[in-house]
Amino acid sequence: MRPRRKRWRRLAFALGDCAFLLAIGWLAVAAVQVTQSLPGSALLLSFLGMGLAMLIQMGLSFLLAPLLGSIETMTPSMVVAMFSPMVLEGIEMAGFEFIPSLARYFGALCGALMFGWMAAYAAACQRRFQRTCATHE
Amino acid sequence: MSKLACRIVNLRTRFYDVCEGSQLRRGHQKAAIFREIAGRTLFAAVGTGLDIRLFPPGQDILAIDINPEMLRRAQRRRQDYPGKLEFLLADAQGLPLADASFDTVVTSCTLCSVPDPVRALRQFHRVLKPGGRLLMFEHVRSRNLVLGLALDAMTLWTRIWGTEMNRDTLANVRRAGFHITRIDSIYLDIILAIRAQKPR
Repeated sequence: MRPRRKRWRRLAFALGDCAFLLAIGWLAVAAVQVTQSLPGSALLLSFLGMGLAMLIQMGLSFLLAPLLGSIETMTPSMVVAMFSPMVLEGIEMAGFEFIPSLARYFGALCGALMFGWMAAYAAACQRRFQRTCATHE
Repeated sequence: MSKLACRIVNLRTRFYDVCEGSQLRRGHQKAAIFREIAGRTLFAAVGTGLDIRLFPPGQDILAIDINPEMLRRAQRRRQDYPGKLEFLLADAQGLPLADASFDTVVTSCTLCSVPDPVRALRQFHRVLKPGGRLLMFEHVRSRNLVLGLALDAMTLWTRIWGTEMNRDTLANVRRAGFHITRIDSIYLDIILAIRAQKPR
């Protein structure tokens, strides 16, 4: 594959990954908000919301797997769907109250942070395996 | 195999091409490792033959799979291959092939679905000639704590259709007696292109 085409390809997939993680973060928080608006035990509704967030994440990952890759969609989005509502709940328990729309953007921010971390981790993995190769050669 | 497991395997066969549609993203990286195919080659677990179009032309390849339905679906793709490509219904854990009869063994997302990966790798070691190469495109468990745990969690349900997401394939390759010569990261430390060699 020509280097220029390779670069565009890499950029397109990076944009796809980033948009997907932003959407998952946003939707995960929205799912928790929907369940928390229902009557019942707050703790139970939080767990229900997290379960719903995971279901949404799995469904969207399956849908996008043929385009973005199955492992590439499933693994990071699972972390985002699990952690963004948990982090938000933690912050709210510490006394900081988000307005609902801002909370959803916070979820999207978690997705963006995950994407940034993944890019850094990918570079670290490349370096680690290059070192492994160098020691074998 | 139980009736339920049979149904799941048959369902997987039907949707295999959709689930493995990630060729769009990884296809060129697979093709890059397949370009190193040389001499008589064993391709383990050909599935529905999605990878056949990535094989370099003019090679002599024996492709195996444990599932007759997968091989039936792969026939059309086999006919399009410009080289010698034969199919054999066989289990990677007990290959009905002679010792030291191949120059290269290739796997592509195979070892996640084999019940005993070390046994399969020992079989690959047996059928390879001394100095023969093992080329692998595999997904493994991440060494990162969070990603590793996410893969462990995924394995709880992917196991239902026979896929383990959290295997330590690098350790298994070494355990089977291979010498790893090169590892390339395809996606983080989860999807890897692994090159190994049977010592001379």
